[in-house]
Amino acid sequence: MKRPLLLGVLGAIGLAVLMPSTAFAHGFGDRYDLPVPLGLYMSAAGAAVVLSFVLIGIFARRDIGDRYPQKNLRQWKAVRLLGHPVTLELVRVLSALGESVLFSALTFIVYLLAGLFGTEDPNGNLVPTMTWVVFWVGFAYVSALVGDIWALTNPWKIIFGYAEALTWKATGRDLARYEPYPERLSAWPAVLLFLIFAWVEIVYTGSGVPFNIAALALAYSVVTLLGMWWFGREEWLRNGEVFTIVFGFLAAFAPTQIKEPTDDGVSTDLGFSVRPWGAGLLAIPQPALPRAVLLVLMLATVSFDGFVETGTWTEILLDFFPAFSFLGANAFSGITTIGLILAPLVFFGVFALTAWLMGWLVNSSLSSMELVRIFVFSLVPIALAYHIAHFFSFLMIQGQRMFSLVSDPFEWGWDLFGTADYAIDIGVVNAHFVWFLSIAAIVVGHIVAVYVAHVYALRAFPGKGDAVRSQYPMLVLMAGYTMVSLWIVAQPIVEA
Amino acid sequence: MFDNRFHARLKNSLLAISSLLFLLLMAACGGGTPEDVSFDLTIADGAVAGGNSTFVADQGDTVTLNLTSDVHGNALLHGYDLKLDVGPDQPSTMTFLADATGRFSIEFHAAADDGHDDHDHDHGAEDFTLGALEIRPR
Repeated sequence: MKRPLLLGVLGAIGLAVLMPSTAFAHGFGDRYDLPVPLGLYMSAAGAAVVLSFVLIGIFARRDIGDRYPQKNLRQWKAVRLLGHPVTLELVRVLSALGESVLFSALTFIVYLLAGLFGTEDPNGNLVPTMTWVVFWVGFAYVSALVGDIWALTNPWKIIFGYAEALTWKATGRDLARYEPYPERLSAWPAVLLFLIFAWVEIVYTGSGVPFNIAALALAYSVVTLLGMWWFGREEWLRNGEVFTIVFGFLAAFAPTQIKEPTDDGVSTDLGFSVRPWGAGLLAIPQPALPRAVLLVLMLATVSFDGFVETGTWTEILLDFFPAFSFLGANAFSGITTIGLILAPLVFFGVFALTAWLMGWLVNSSLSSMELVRIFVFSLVPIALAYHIAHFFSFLMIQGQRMFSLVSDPFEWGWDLFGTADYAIDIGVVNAHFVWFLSIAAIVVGHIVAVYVAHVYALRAFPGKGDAVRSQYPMLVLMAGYTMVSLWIVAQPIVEA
Repeated sequence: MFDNRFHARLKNSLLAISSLLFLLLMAACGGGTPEDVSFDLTIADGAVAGGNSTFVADQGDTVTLNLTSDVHGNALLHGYDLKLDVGPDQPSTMTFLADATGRFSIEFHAAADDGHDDHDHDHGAEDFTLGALEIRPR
């Protein structure tokens, strides 16, 4: 009884995937960024390198230890306000709203319906903008800069949780089967699902078509809900729900942490803690290999996403076209797919080599893979900085579409909030501001990364002077990674 | 507990670097008065003559694009969302105030279109990029 629906959905997806369409690659939406001028690019590169050495020099001369900046924040009035009962109540209300089944389920259902039945025009339909601008870019920003918003608003988590509560009330039994989750499987399902997601975002030329997105979201819902039903909600969220894990990585950087009440029957208050940006990276536990692989995959695809918009990539496409001409209209997609698979492999390879060098320099007994896992999170600030630089204009400009879309999500002529005629203003951000923000973010991200890596090193190599010595390969790696980010934002965007 | 000198030194370094960047940015500011600039594009044999070019103007300039084409169609300037019908024996011109900075691609859509909105159809095989217009900040 479930099979025909599943087959139907799979069939629709299959058709959509096989049909070569030439709508936008790269998610959806035009980007109008001006390349960062050469002088700025050079200055930023220079600043990043100089500051790195300054930092290493400071570390070498002083025993900072692995304590992170812990100012007594309560001495600032603004921070005391955060602890004020009114603020906590506000957080509680907002969290409750975000977590409310009604809000979450309603939004998700409207989203699916808009994609499946609304206009095919990507710009007039709610779904492409909500997916690629608000969700993929916007939520990443919020997760990293404010807090883990996805943990709060994840519709599958909320809907399944509600279904569980209802089942319990009605039958006194668990909804989920709670089959034991195979330990060796770990987070590998999420790795696979993320690879598929990245392919859809970067390679798939139909990624802007509302129906395709909604169909994929529906398929993903089925997988997620099934996983939750089979293994238990939390177990699946931890191992198989891609966005929980990926936004969770970014949220480690965020200045806030919300500890939700546990559902073991003991009701606890919503815990809300504040810390400096990046400090969370010093407190997270070391990831197991699959999670580390997923992080590398995420970092590599963020950079690859930018790389495919450069003239250099266009040249690569043209160079390899003859070899792939047997794919016909899908030749470029084929080449880009290979690139998408190679990028994380190269990234991982270079990182593993760096890890090996670090261990070798200090005669460590830790294996390269262990070192990879110990240090991988220190790269998050660089990826995050690049993400901010690369997508800020996009978010500010294309994000404005939401104003008209919420009033008329299907493009059926509605005007629910009176904003259906809102016209986006492409001049909302000036290029000077965006350039400054971009390179400042990239340089600061680099510095934070160097700092975090050093703290990890102090923990891994407690021998005197070992930590600093071990960081030279890491410094080269990070400088290289930062240079790649700078290079990409200095390139003119080439439309495919 | 916490090493204030380290923090202070880091803060000073960051401040110095950001000031330097800020100064460089301001130096990159051209200033000057808005001008009228115009660019010519010729579409022939399914491509743009001279290859894709990047046309550069400054924010506040009045930009004119002159297009000639050997086939019927329309040219679209993304971002500003300005469309211009072009065709043989029909040199076409669009003039506008470049008040927003950015890099905006110019595309050609062959006529077979029957009044579609510019963005809501898949690009056909006859569509191609004519170049890009960069509006730089002053």
